[in-house]
Amino acid sequence: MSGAEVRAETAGLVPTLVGLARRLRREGLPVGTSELLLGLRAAALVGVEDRARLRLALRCCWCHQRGDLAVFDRAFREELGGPRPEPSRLARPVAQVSVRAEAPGAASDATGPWSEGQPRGIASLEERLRRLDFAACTSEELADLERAVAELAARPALRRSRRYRPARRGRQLDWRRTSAAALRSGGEPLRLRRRRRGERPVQLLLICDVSGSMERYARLMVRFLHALERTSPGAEAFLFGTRLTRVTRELRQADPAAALRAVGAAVPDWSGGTRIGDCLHELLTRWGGRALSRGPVTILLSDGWETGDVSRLAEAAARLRRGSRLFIWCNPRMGDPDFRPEAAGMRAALPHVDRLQPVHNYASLLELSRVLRLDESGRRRRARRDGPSLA
Amino acid sequence: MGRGAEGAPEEFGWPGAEGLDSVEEMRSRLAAASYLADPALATVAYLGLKLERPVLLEGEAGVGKTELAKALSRVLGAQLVRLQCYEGIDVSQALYEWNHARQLLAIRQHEGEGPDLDLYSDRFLIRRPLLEALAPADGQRRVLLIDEVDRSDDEFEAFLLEMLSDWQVTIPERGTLSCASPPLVLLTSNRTRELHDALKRRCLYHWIDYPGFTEELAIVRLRLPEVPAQLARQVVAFVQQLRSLQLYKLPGVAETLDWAAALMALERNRLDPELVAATLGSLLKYQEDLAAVSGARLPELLAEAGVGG
Repeated sequence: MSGAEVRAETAGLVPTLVGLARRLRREGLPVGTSELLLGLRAAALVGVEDRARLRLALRCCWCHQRGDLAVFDRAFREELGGPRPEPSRLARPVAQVSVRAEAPGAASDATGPWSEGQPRGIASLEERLRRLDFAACTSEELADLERAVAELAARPALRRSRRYRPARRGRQLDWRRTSAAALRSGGEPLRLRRRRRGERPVQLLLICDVSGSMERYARLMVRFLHALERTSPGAEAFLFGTRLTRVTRELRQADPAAALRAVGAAVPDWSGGTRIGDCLHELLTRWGGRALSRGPVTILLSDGWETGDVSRLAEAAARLRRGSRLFIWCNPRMGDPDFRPEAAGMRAALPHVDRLQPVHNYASLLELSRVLRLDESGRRRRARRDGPSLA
Repeated sequence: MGRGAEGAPEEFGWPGAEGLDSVEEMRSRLAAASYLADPALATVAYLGLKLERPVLLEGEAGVGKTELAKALSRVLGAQLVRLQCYEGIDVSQALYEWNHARQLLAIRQHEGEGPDLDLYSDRFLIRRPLLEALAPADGQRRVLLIDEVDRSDDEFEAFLLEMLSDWQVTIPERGTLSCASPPLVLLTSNRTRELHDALKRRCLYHWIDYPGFTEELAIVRLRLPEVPAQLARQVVAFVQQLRSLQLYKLPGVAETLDWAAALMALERNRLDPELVAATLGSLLKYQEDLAAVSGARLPELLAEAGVGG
């Protein structure tokens, strides 16, 4: 656009608007030059005398998602004045931000729970360490295990996509390519071209219990989540104890140590009580649209100790299963040979679980990532529980 | 539509855009088309029209994203072209397809009659919604609704970005077609996944919230004038009450209207727990939500909403 399009009355305000754009850029909104020019055109269209009107016009040009709106409104008020905009009626807090320098953990660990040990390459893990229950490890062994876990990659299972790809033996005729070829051979379809549906990685939904009873496993589990998050595109990750925290963003960063620190800072209720039912319920109501819309493979890491209402847990588990391609419950207590799913929460949820898997040692994590890889049929495996049954 | 850019239609306006030169005017014309928009939404619609930018509407299901496109097409006197997105939607379903059978037949008919058969002329072209919106056959401008764009996949999003950035599309056999007077484009998303940044940056953005009591009551009165005032108030109060609960799926405005219409069909003039329990299915669509609301809690909820039993 040309400068002439900006009306004279806007011109006086241009420096202020540029200042506002710069401030928004500092606060993380992607307001580049093209957005700035668009905003100035919008301002010229609606006029600048009425601040409320100007705010609404600039807002739709410079915001690109719901979270931007509050940032914009605050900056606008401070830079240009105008009445305090009404808070959105159903606005929920964006995230529970409780920054803490370090998360509580096993304080006895010499290196501190969330700092990195000495970097040391680990090609293969000793057989003994593979079978050792995480709860029985020394801190050195744990450090070795952590590095091994970080290298675990889950090549995600594939599901049938709805997008067609050319294929030699597809079920469907590819008319477009067949007729294009026919036209080249004088209208004679000498060879039929075919197509079939392509494949896409299955989405993962990862939910991990970090309450007090899971304390000894939690750190490794988060490491494992990080490895999965890094290798499966679009995976969503949540941690819970008494409240639910979404940690997808925190886990997206490449550096495992930084990811762990970010997660530690984001979770307000480390090693507290457990309200699995309530937390799953919140996940379903608040994040269900995003996390469950594409039929993910859902992995719940928990020992099933529930201090809340177990019927609520059963209901949430049932819904989680219906929304998922495959619902896997991973219980670290299954390492115990005498294990029976006796925790009240575990018992309540068991009928709704597709698979019960142990996650108490490295071998079991390997097994879990194998399960994820092998389920390439893309179909839900119902009623095939490989773990012990209640009977 | 002609071959290459030369066939682009001339500049022309919207039949209904005469005198539409302020946000307030947009708002009142939308209201005349039975759509109550708040100032923010009217601003975004107005700017989308004047700046020729696509508008991205996000919000929970049933808050009136799709309805706005319909209302705008009424306001502008333009035909609405709707493209429903789904995973795997591609150019042959969204933009154009060749009529292959007809092409092959034409070759047969044409055999031995000379080399001047154009197999990529208009009579072999099947026009899909996007082509219809960008290069309308009758030369009239269109309102284009790209519904639930979050359901499509990355490939299609990239294609859309190209189209919305330059208002042009490419048909390999015909060349690039650019559009001098682009349609008014509305994209809606339910946020089941995050859209690509580049696409978002191309669009004007608006989040549609659930309306407050007064606004929702006004919507019910406008859309269903036959509903008695007292019943409308009770219906809206109860729905507003439901939205404060933790349910899997909160009722949208569309559900409020459905419910009010259902009550009218039953010829009832006021709410009572029995009636609500019998018709709750028009508001809540999950069995768990129905269970959470019906039963012993219902009279309580009705009382809280100020509806006498």
